[in-house]
Amino acid sequence: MTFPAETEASLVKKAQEGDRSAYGELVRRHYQGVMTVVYRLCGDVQLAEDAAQDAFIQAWQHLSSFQPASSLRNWLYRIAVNAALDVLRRKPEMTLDDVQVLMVPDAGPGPEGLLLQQERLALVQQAIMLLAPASRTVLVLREYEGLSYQEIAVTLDIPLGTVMSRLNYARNRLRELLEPVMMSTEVEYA
Amino acid sequence: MREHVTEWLGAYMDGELQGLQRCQVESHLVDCQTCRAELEDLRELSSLLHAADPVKEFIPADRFTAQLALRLPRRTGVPMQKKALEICWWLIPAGVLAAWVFVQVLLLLSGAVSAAGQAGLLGRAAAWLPTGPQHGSWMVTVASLLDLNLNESGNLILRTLDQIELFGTDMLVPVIWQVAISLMYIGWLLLYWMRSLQHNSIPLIDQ
Repeated sequence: MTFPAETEASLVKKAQEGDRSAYGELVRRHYQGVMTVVYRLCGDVQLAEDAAQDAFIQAWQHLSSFQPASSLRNWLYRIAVNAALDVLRRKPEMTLDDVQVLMVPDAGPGPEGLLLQQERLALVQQAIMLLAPASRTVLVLREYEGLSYQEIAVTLDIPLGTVMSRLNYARNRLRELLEPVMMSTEVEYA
Repeated sequence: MREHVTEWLGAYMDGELQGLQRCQVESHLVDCQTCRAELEDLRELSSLLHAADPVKEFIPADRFTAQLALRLPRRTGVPMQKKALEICWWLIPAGVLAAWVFVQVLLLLSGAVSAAGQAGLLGRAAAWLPTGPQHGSWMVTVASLLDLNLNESGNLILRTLDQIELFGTDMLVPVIWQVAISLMYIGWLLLYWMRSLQHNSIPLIDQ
């Protein structure tokens, strides 16, 4: 069954009444956003898929308590953040020793350069993973999902000032961790 | 040189500063090379973060949805249960309001019957109504212990206290009823407010 023109509110209502097809359509519509959030929080595609599945299952189970007047996307993100942090608990944590990996070789032109570029991007993800979960969550919601500070505060149920301080902390820490990467990028474009 | 605006640069870059605060940061940036460099660093970091696009690595949405459909648990009976709970939830204030109306009508009727009885409008039908002076239970006890005639004019103090008690009792009963009903209603409002706060919240694992 397809729901091309159906509004989200109508799909939510149907899904709350137990319509699995309507819920499937909601999942399709929010899959990309939820996957991006959990991937950035977990740093691994497989873990992200597990977390996204857990998140959508939990959302299905709690859907009857969702109030249609509020944002479904932000509600799903909240559940997704929970699920991602839960998945991360089950896997060994990354240690600061891994920062050594952030020593980046220069990216030259050609296939080798492309490979190095990919490695560099992987390093960015590793640096994100080195942030504390609280700061990482705020950074991901802001940088990758473009949520406003107010939306982040509501989604994570934290004060607006905390959003700003966590974001500042995350960015400053990333600048420290990614200094070699940023410097090599500067050299490249110079 | 004014104080640096480092802590506001992130919010400025994100377009989260408004009005005066935004103007202050902008005017500071015109004069301050350090903060301009800091802002440039933040922008560079943001572009670096966006350069990695993981989307191509994800499984297609349709496949994901199909896999998820196999894992979704059944939710039998939940809507019916929820509807029943909702009905019960709204029956509480309706019941409280009905109780309030009932108490008001009862007090009104009782006052009207009593007044009509005293005016002699009820004739023989008023025979069951209490007639003559009424006394509080403590007054009756004191009178029987001291062997006093309650209607004697000499017991002015006792009679005044008796009248105060009767007046207090007459006033107190309706007040107690109304306060109790109001408290029940306020209690329901509080519960409703707490419920609506909790409704959409799924507690976060430690942040």
